[in-house]
Amino acid sequence: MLDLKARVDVILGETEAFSKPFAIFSEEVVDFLNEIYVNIKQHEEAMTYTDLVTFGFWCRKANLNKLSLSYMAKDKMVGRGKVLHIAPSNVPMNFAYSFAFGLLSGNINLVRLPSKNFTQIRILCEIIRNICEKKKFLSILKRFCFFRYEKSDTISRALSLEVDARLIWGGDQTIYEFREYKTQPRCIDLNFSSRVSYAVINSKALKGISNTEYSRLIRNFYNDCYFMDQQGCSSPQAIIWLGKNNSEVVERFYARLLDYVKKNYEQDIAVTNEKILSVAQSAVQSSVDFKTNYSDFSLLRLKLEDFSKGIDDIKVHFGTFSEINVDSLDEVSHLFTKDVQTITHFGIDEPEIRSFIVRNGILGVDRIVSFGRAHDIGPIWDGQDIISTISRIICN
Amino acid sequence: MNLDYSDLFKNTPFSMAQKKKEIWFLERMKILCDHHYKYCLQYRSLTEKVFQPFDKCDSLLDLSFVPAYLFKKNNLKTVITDSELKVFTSSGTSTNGKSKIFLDRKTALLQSRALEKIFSDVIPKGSKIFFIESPNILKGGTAFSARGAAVKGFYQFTRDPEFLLDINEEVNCDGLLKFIEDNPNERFVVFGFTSVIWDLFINKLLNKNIKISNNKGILIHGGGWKKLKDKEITRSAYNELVKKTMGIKNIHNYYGMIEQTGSIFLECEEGFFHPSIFSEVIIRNKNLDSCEVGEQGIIQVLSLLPISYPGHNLLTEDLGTIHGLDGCACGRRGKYFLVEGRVEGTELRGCSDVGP
Repeated sequence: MLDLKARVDVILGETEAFSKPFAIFSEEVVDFLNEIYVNIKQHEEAMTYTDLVTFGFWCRKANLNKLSLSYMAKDKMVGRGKVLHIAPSNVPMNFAYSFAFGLLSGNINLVRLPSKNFTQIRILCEIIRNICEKKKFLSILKRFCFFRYEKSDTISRALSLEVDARLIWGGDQTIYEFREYKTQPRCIDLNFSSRVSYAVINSKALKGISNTEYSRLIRNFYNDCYFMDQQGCSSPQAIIWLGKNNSEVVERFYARLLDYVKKNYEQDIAVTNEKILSVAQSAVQSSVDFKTNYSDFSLLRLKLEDFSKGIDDIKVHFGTFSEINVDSLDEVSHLFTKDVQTITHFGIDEPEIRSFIVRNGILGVDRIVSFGRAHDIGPIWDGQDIISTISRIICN
Repeated sequence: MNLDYSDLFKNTPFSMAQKKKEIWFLERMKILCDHHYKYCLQYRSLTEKVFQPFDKCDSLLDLSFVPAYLFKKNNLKTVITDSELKVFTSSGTSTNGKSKIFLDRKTALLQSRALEKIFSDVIPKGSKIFFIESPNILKGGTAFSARGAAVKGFYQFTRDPEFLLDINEEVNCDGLLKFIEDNPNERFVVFGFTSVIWDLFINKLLNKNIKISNNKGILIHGGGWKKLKDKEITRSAYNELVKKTMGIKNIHNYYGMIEQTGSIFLECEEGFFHPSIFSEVIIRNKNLDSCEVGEQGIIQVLSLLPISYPGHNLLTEDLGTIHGLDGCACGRRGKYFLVEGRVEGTELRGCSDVGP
């Protein structure tokens, strides 16, 4: 048995006397998560962090009960045992979802928190600590451990050998490194590699919408792209415009977006610095020709003339968009490589995009969501059902 | 290459008025940009994809610049023929790796000539020089570091170099003490890196209770304040301690990049950095527009010297402020500015590697 206390910096939870795995969507777990929701709602400081609020909202009992309905065999499903969660260093709330998926699937959770102590993480840990002090939730405390450690082969290796499943939230380098460690024969890995995402807009559909609708659309697009500085895997990096002779419509969209960005986005000099770096580096390393265009540096447009070779090596952030204009998606099916994760869409239906994916035998695209939902995380991620994968079905 | 370097060295380094310099410098800079555009593939891509064509540029502000960070990520070189290139690396204080500079003979020569020209403004030609370095600085890999390059540059126009640190980097100032005793009225130069002088020399002198009597030395130092800033040491505290321990009151810091060795920005008696005839400075705000006098922004540095790599127009990651044009009390013409720290990193909020 691994001596956690001696090796890692334990933040919260049990270190040795873990309980056994249990049924999926157990009542006490659902109650516990709902308690998190209630506590966040009542926590003044917590309410100032959008990502924390969103996580809390996801933890609602009603949401979880609805979610459980999609697990037909749930009465026969139990956790696999111990799950190791390696959260990404820079998305503060990712570990919380991973932890919640682990509990909902009936597992004991060893969660490595991001090295940086984000305020959201501190608040959430406080909230969880308080909840676990209640008699009703004492048992939960035996089902997880939150910890941190500096990069260490020895600890990562020992943890890997100990567990029955690993959730590795990337990026690619971390996945490669963890693959080197020996695991038990039955251990299951879920890897979430580095991905890119696109937005698809049918320009014709923009013509007919009301001012209110337009405002909502812009706000949603802004949240998808600017909320995490366009750094999350699910943030659109490129906009694929459908329809020809649409320059007026396209310009209007960018003008309205810029207007919203100027009012809401805080572009400080650090952002400017990293933004010009990422654009300049993309210009140097990519074989794709583009022209950079901006009226205000908070919204950069990279107009692509020729995208026949793919656009994977254009890596931009902080409100920078590759722009592609075509008649139909079929013209650019080669852009949808296996690295593409999410399509956010407007003016083209989800079934139409899905049919395009299947028809063209495309390896990428695991999510098709409307504007504003790019960052909505759920137990089905990167095309895999996390809860099903880290639990087992006792069939008959 | 049509840029005529012979007229460059005819000018005195700090006497051109800003208005005249803007035209004079732009004309030459455009020729140099064009050279890099023709012979450096990456600079051409950068120019075409991110900036406007040179013929549309009517100010230095418009010309395509290279973020200094790109020298860490790419092998940037401007090569017409396969002339012999030496690779220099930066001191590597950054966590993102070292800058790689591909230096040919011609650029190296221009750099040492420019260095000489600039320092001739504050030190007499053929001065005796002491380096606050170990003699090892010119051996092995460190010879190709920023520190090695700077020491070699001084070799060209000073005499009888001596080193004030031994091979174990311990203080050895016997030579210096003897020189001062024998030549009490002669001006001489002491050169070193800002943080090395602080850590390995003056603080050691203090520990050993060695106090050098007042003398006619001129201390030239550069390499950045980052390490000292972390220790919250100000310029005045630094100069005060130099005066107290080394007996030197004539102190000049300089600001420079390894990508622009030679055309350094010399700190004047008033404490401001000055571009010379070989260089220019621009400060940009968060919209990448030019800052007003007195407004802090990102420092961009331009140099007429780099030929074998596109280091002629660099966006640094330093913050600074221009304090005026032509009006510095020291009498030097042109812009004068202060360097005020580094641009802080943003907190990357994305799916990035955590490592094992």
